[in-house]
Amino acid sequence: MVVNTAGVFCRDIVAMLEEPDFNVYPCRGEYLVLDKAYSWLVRSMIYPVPPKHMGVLGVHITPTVEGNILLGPSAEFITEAEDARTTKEMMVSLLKNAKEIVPALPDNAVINAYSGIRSKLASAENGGWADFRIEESRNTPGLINLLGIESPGLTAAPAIAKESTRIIAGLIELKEKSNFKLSRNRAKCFSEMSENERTKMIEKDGRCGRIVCRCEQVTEMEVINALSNPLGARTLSSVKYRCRAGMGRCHGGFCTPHIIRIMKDNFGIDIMDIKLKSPNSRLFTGRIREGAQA
Amino acid sequence: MIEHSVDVAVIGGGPAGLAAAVSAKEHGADQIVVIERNSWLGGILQQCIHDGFGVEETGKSLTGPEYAEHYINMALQRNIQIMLETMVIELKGNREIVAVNSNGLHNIKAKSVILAMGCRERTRWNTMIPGTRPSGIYTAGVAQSFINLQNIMVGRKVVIVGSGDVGLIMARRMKLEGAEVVAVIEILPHPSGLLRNVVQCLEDYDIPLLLNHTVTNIEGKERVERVTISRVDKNMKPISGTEKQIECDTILLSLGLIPENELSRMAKVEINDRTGAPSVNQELETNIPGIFACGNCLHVHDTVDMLSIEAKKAGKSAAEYITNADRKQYETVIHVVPGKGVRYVVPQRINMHGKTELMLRAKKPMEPATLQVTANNKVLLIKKLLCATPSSMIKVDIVVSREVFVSRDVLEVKLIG
Repeated sequence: MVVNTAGVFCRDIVAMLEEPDFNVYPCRGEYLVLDKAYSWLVRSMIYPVPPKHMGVLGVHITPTVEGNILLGPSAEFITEAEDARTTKEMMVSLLKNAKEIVPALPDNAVINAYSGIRSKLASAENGGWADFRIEESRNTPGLINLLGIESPGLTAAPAIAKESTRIIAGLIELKEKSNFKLSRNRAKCFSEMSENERTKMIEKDGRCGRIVCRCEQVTEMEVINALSNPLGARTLSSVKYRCRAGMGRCHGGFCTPHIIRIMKDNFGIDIMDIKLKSPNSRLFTGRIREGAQA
Repeated sequence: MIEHSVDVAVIGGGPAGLAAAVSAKEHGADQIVVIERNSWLGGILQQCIHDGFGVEETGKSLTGPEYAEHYINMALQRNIQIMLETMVIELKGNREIVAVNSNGLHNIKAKSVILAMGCRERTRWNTMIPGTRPSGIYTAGVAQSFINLQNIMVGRKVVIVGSGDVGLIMARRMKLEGAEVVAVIEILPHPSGLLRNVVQCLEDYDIPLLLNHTVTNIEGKERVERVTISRVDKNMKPISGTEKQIECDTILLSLGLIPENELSRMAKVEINDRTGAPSVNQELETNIPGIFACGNCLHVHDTVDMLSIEAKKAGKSAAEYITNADRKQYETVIHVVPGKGVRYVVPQRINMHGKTELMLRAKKPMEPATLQVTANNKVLLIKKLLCATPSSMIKVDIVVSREVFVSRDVLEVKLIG
């Protein structure tokens, strides 16, 4: 049994087993992230009337639980499925479009930008919109395809999971696990703690009172916990995703040197092995003076 | 909560905080605490191992750490309390500070507070530089900290974006460490850093400075592989057809500095639009009585010498605020505003007649220039300058007569080419 959830590469997976009866049209969506300082501006999701021609929702404004505001996404059909760059034209236009909805949005509050690639089953010429396909392949028994899961794929994910389970249950016998953990224990972070909770934590371990990320108020202990994670965070990005150090307005200007210090001093990681994210995204090229102490 | 009660609390143990603390002590404040988030005093000076510090102030050319040592020793000799690795997480308008360190949470009640938080570097996203998001992109200051404080080399073939002073210094530093510095890219028609740094860091090392150019794309899947640069027109828009690709593995950003004022905002200190920093009066007092500001969190300075001089003034004012019961509080306030050709002026308010020092910055280079201060079209001061450039702060003393002062006319500061 294969469940094909390969997103924009779902066709490649199908092509390994049979001749695909569909095409994937990658469609890039760019986002801007705004400084938390402006969280008071927007308290709920704000959508424009969807533009008819694109088969997308249009640029909308999304407040996040952390307080940052997201502007986007754009919708741009591209040829290269991995081309997740951000472009000047789109960044400028996202801000412009969002300001048409909320004119008070400041120009200088952008702290990050990113993009993702939608897996569309319809080309721009064909309206750019098609329904999800959640089905077992007719030609390859046991291949369950989840195709064209673009927006609102995240919202639909629980329902898609149920439907996939129903299909799988028709092929093999499924037994519900009695010990499956539905919830995850998430430790409260320093920034969410009360005065008493903070004091107690610091009494236990002084590193709980040492703030290394100024923007998000992340402590040295939280960075150490992220690095001690059983899944072994070893890159700057994985530390960021686990404890938010580096997510803020200074973009790691203050915390990056601290995190690197913790990685090499507390975890003995060789600086040449420290990556931003992927296997070849090395951060450093060597020592200034070999043998010298930092 | 560990309770403290002090005369003066200084937020930030960099050059401004140290100079302010020393000066506050010399002017009669007794219990002074300097709160510093890092494990060392002297702030960014400790990573500035080049020389050129202290020339204006001491006549000697010192390295950053040497200059810092001078003030650190003065602070220690004067029994100024230092809290290291301590982050201020809250500042209230009643001059209470909440700070945290490995000993716990601290509530510091201060009779007066000096803001000396410094500044942070503008990032890639503040100016929306497009492209992929690989490793190898550093702000110049972060790269400087890795190289000079942690013995770590950040790259081999470098393009520097922006010609701020830190970027210029780092161009030379990278070159001295064996890196190839391909070019410094500046969108403006003139360099952003000091002329002496352009000469000593770029020209002396044959590093090209490309004015009127911008980065239109960053490429590289995992590590930076190349950048595309373009010439820009008068409106700073890229001119199509002028694109050029440069192979490199590292990009250092020197896009300017932003005064750090999250704490000031928290305490409801009034923030000036032009500087993005507190509005202050001639004594460097903010709109909140007893809260003073100095250094790069007030406005970004060219040299540490000028910054220290200003910080000492803040220290003196903070001490006088608590020691001088007769300290006159004038009701009248006149505003100082930047006019034609001026990007900003500090102080923004004057609440006393007499001599006042104005610090200002030009919008664009002029040679020669005439500085003019007017109040309701009446000229208070005309000063001829050989030149005015945005990278060099202009200082000028003006005398506000009693008559002008009571008229409450706005003072307008202009630079005419």
